[in-house]
Amino acid sequence: MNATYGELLTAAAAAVAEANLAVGRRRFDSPLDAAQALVDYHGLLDALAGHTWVLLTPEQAAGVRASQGPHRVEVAAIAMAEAIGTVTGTGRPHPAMRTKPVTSWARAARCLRAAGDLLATHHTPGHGPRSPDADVLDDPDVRASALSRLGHLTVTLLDAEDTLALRALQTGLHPATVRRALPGLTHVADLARTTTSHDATSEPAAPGGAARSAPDTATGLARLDNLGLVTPPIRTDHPVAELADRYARVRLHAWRLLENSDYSITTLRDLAVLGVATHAHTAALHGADLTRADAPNRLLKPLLDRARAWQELHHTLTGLVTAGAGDGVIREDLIAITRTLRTLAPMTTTAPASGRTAGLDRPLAGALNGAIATMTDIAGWNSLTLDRLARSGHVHVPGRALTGEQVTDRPELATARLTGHLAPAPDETRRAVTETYQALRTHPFQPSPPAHAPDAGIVRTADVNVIARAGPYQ
Amino acid sequence: MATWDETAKVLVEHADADWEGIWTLTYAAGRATADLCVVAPMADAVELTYAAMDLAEARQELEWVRPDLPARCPAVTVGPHDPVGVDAARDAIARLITAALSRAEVLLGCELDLADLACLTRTTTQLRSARRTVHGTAGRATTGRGRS
Repeated sequence: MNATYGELLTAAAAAVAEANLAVGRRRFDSPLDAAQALVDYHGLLDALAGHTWVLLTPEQAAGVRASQGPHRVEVAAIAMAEAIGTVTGTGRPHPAMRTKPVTSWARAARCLRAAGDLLATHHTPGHGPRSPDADVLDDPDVRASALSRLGHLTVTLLDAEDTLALRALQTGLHPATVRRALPGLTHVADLARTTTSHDATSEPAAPGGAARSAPDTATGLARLDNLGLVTPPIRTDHPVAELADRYARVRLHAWRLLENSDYSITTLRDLAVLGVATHAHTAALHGADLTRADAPNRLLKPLLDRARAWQELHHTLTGLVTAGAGDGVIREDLIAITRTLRTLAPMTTTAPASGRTAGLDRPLAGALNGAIATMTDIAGWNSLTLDRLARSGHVHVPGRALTGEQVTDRPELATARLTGHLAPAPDETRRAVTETYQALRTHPFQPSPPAHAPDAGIVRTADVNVIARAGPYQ
Repeated sequence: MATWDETAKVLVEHADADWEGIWTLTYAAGRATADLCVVAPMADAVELTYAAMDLAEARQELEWVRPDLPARCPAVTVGPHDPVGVDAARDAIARLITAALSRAEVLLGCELDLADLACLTRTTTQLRSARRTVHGTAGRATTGRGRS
């Protein structure tokens, strides 16, 4: 199974609740059990502190400490982690990590540490991005929400301190031992409560920044929760799971083209084919009759318009030539995805005039909804990829494919047309492709931004972050 | 203006039974399929897109062993979309693909090195897959390596 960050956090919370309940309901069987519980309790506290430093890097923490107006949740989280650190010590690995987890607290700690490791896979050792989701914690509101959730978990854990101390003493452990392990952590609980006080709707806007809406934060938090490993294995036990995994891999590879281009129009063309298939099959799943030119209802029209736009893109890209051979992984995933889509969301079924009658396959609809969001992301990245390829002179067209209008006042293009040799792709072709990409980089069910863009229609401000994250490739 | 079918017939008639001929026919078929995708109903268009993908891959296979083909061969298209109908257009594309396949078969009878042999094998597979899709029923056609 491919665990996500949210699933690991949920598992950790459930394990903490279970352990708290168990320690409240019954005594330990032996001093050994009590000792193990104390160790695991400390191990979980240590994992909570450690996870705080995952959500808040040391550099960010230094920035918070130096800031004149720091985010109070982040200040409280730092104080909480430092306070826990003084209790649990700095020895590594923590003693609780040396044995297999026995108690639920130990299982919770393992889930929490795994969640931290999962996030770490999205970054390079130098904290550079390894995936398009590496920036998810760059949003202060999302970070504060995640820290707040950690605070809740800490408060819940510390609620069991007194009960655990009582149960440990009941087994005959030396009171000094119990006191040393559980010295009274009220001050940590207070800091944790401050950490939990984050509310996105009540937070003032950062100086110089725009106020974030609660839905934006919720979207960011959902993105964090859905985060899996960067390169998860493809699950083949269920077609919908396989579909989701393959789309995730295609998304990652399309993003990586920004940094490591394969100098291939084939990859971009394959992705355009995927765009056509994704939107058309999604429309078919929702009951669109694709055998007619007109859309069956206006709700599905945006999907079919997108499919057509990807089709136009594919048409234009077919006329372009580059030296690279294309990404084999993307091609493999494209073939597997289209085969699955034809089985799960076929287009030949004649839909009734009133629309879909059979029950909607919710997991499949969910996977395809995610796929459409994926294709929206990919359109933005492909736009930049093609722009870079064209600007660096890697995109050509067969000379004979040039029109008379295109070669006018361009002697080198006129020569290519006469000799039939390859010629650099004309600017208007590049602009047409880029403009189509720009239209595709907004989600079909979200309002499009005003289409007033500079040269070639590229939204430069939106691209700055993408380019910065993608690395130094030029 | 000549119809797609007429242009295809001329192309088939004049294309040589060599690498250049196969490339030219494959290029023309690929461009025609991509053109047809844009105007066909979506159910057909998606399938034809897969066929266009196969034809593009077939062309790339040729260019892999003969990198100079795009620069040397006439990149001829069958012209603007023929308004006669999708079925007639499919027939014209199928004619081009069939001609490319027959030339590939002729070439297979010549003395070839292993790289050329492998290239022709892969190209033939892609061309056959594309022809099956172009002639197939929308949504039920099969295309591409490993799709069948």
